[in-house]
Amino acid sequence: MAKPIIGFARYAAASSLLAALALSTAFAQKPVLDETSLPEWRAHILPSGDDLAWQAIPWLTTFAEGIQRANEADRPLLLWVMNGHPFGCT
Amino acid sequence: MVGRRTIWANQEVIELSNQFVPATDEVWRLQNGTDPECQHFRSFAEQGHYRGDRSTRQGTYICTPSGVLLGSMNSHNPEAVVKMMQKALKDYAAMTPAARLLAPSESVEPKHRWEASHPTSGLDLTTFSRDLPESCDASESAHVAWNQDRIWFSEEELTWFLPPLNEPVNVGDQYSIEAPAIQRITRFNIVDTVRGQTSFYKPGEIKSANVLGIITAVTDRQIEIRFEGQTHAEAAVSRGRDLPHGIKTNVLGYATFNRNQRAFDKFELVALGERWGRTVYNGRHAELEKSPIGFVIRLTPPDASLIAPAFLFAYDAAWVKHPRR
Repeated sequence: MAKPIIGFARYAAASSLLAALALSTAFAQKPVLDETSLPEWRAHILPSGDDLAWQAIPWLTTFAEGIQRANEADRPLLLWVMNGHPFGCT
Repeated sequence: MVGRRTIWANQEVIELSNQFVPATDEVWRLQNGTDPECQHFRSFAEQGHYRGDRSTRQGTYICTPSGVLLGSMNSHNPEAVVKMMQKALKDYAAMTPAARLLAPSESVEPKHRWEASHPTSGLDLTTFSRDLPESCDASESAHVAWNQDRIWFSEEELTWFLPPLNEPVNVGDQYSIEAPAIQRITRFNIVDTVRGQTSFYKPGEIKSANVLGIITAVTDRQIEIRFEGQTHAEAAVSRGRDLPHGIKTNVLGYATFNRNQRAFDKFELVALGERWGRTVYNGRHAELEKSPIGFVIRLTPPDASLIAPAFLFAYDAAWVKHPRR
């Protein structure tokens, strides 16, 4: 039985698909997540000591509590407010 | 978010802050709410650096307890903040106690805060998010930007993560984490917040979200569980604007459930995958292409500050206390 001949259009389409697959393999690396890599990724994602340096300031986490404590201590209030709580998602 | 690593990590600012009472808060409620706390904030913030601009009051303010504004700015320059703090201390010292302190009859007690919904016997988790290196090599230096949020489950809801406890539990048993649990995580916490606040996903925007629990050890006292699964969320719009975006992740994690305490002694999920597109405020204007992203979701330490999840208002849960309308 004669080997089927692939027409040029189908050949070109197949070639393009293969090239696209090769490209996507080359550039679309995905992070591996398994028992071995999980501790490494955990350490990578969690905030470092430098990331948390701002927490060296003993922040109160509501404005009302800040006002009350400032009043009791007779000190000015230093208030940092953001869209989203700075100790949460901002 | 940049302020965390510019202003508030500056040593001079940290030392000078000892002469103040430092406080943080979420500003949208303060600038829009009707509570005495919110009205007190607006009494000085309306004269601050964004006066006349109705959109936001973000930034740093220094005020007296009575509500006299001593300084304000929204700056990433620590020197400018130090100067403002030094001047505010002088101005405060020059005022009379009557001018700087609250009148005895005055109260700033809030009528509603989202933190009041905290489920004390439930599950309080913290989510951390960060971009991953393009090489997907965990040993590379971490990207600077990161973010965090909370996610809460009531005492009843934490059983969503467990096998049926009214039946014998054996090593090797497998079960699906109940859909509302993984939906809540996928809709509100596996979201692209690395560079700033984002929109949450609506239920119909969750393309798939499945996590399997596998029992790895059982004793009379505890059950050890391994979690594995996937999430996939996609949306075409953000806040009414055509802004396609999405996230696809693989999930792996471990938990230890204490049967006597009816609480998790350990709970950790790691989700790694890719994000794409942008939402209105999440700072991805120049990063629309797919890129790797990672999340760690773990128990909030018992001594951590009480902070409400950003999207608590959108939970489908009767235990969430909403403000009176």
